[in-house]
Amino acid sequence: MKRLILLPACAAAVAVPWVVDDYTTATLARLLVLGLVGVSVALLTGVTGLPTLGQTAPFAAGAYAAAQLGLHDVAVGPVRLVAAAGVGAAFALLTAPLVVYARGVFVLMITLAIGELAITVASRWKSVTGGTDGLIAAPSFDTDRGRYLYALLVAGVVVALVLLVLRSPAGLLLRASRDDEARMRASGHPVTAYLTGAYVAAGAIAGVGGALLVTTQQYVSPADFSFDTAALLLLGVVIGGAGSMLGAVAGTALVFAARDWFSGLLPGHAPLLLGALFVLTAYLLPRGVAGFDWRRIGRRDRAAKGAR
Amino acid sequence: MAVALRVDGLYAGYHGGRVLHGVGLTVEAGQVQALVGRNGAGKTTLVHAIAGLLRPYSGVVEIGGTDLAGRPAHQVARAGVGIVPQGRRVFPSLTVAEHLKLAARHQEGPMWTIKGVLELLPRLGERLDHRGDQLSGGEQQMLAIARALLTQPRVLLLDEPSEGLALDLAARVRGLVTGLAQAGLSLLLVEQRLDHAIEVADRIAVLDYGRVIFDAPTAQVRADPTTVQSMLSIDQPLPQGS
Repeated sequence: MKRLILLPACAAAVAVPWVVDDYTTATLARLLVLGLVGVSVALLTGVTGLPTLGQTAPFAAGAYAAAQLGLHDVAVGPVRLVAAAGVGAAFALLTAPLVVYARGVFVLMITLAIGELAITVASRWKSVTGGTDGLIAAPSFDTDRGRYLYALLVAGVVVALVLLVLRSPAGLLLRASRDDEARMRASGHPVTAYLTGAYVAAGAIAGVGGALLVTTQQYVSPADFSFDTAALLLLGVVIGGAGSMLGAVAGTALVFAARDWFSGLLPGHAPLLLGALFVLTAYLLPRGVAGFDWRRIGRRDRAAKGAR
Repeated sequence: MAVALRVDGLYAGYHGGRVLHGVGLTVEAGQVQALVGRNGAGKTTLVHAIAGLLRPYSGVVEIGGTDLAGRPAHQVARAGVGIVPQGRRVFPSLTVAEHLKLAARHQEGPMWTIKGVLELLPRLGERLDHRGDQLSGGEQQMLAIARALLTQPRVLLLDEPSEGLALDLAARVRGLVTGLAQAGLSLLLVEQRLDHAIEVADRIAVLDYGRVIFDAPTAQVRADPTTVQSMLSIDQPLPQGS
């Protein structure tokens, strides 16, 4: 069933830049980037049980690394991607001791602080980040269509890799550690090492998202990594279904698209409408869009027809 | 007889407060040492302190001559301490097969294999695709025991394994405990019910207010159960056959 939905969705995603205008293509590319960062948030929040507001930090680290490479005439996409992933992972490795020993709301507070500190550094370290003026990156592709397809390819490969890992014993270890950490420790599993691994991997994914942001937007500034972005990423992941990577991509894209759409429709009221969307989702879809059993609708229809 | 587990002068508790006050206890190789005590006596605290789930303030927890007190739980587990926790605590979202796969990981030179555990507990073999939260209480207990065995323990800590089980299932668990001891495993069995402890244990200790106030061979308790019963504030006579 999932494959039946997934294949046409992939085909539509590839075909869409030939159907819509350049502005929409560029917007979709940006949503893909944010969806990929949403995957890193979902990996931590839904799979490992470390709810985070700080993935904007490795996202920023990766973006500035890629932008700097662009400024130094490194135009090869994969080089930028690998470098950005490395910087994002290194950032996560440095901050991991602050995060992986904390639990619950403390993780949120610590990661929020890490995210805010990263923005402060990005705003003040002008020689590297351009400060609040930001950095203009040399274009890697000439057209919005090219940038979109590149983002789609990279995001697709990364999400597929994450799904493969989560279906391997590594995914099992992370899910079990989330379910009952003490039990895992008592079975001889070094849970802290597993959480550190997941946190570093999530940093690398966010770093790749940063490199893609530079490619799709050709400009990067601290405003791209604000608290608003962090909060909307978490909101998108919750709406999409925190344990589902595809749900995270869809939920994040939906939330950012809704914000942009709402802000055009009802200027100044977008946060209010997003809040209402979140409350509705929490009530109607407590496990997110991906956690909803769509077959129930079919069953209900059949039951209604049977009753008639 | 060789000592499999030696606890000596163990002080432990929560947030600076003391629950255990210098506990001393030994489990001899291939024997079942039962630990009985009233609610709040500190039985589960002792089990957690031995397993590394609670860092003791001071004292010795020796397995095979190595002091493991204060070591992280995963190191204690790898040193040969398995635990079947109170309330089973199986992973709700994992299947039986995934539980077994997880538990069998990281342990070298297995005495217990997944195949061997399924032969011992065949009911689990029929439930391999069922999630933890889809199992009955008895099946969850079997799974908790299987999971502990697959960590290749030299000493197995069982924290009230009969709790909440129907009489026949509780009897099966006690039969399993006896079988494991006969297979050479050393067990520390925490029990609320003295008659259950008498049925399977080689020695019985009483924990009260964080201190071991009695420790004797089961034969001695069986001959004169009133001493231990009075320690546990049990008024009723033991059931026939205990």
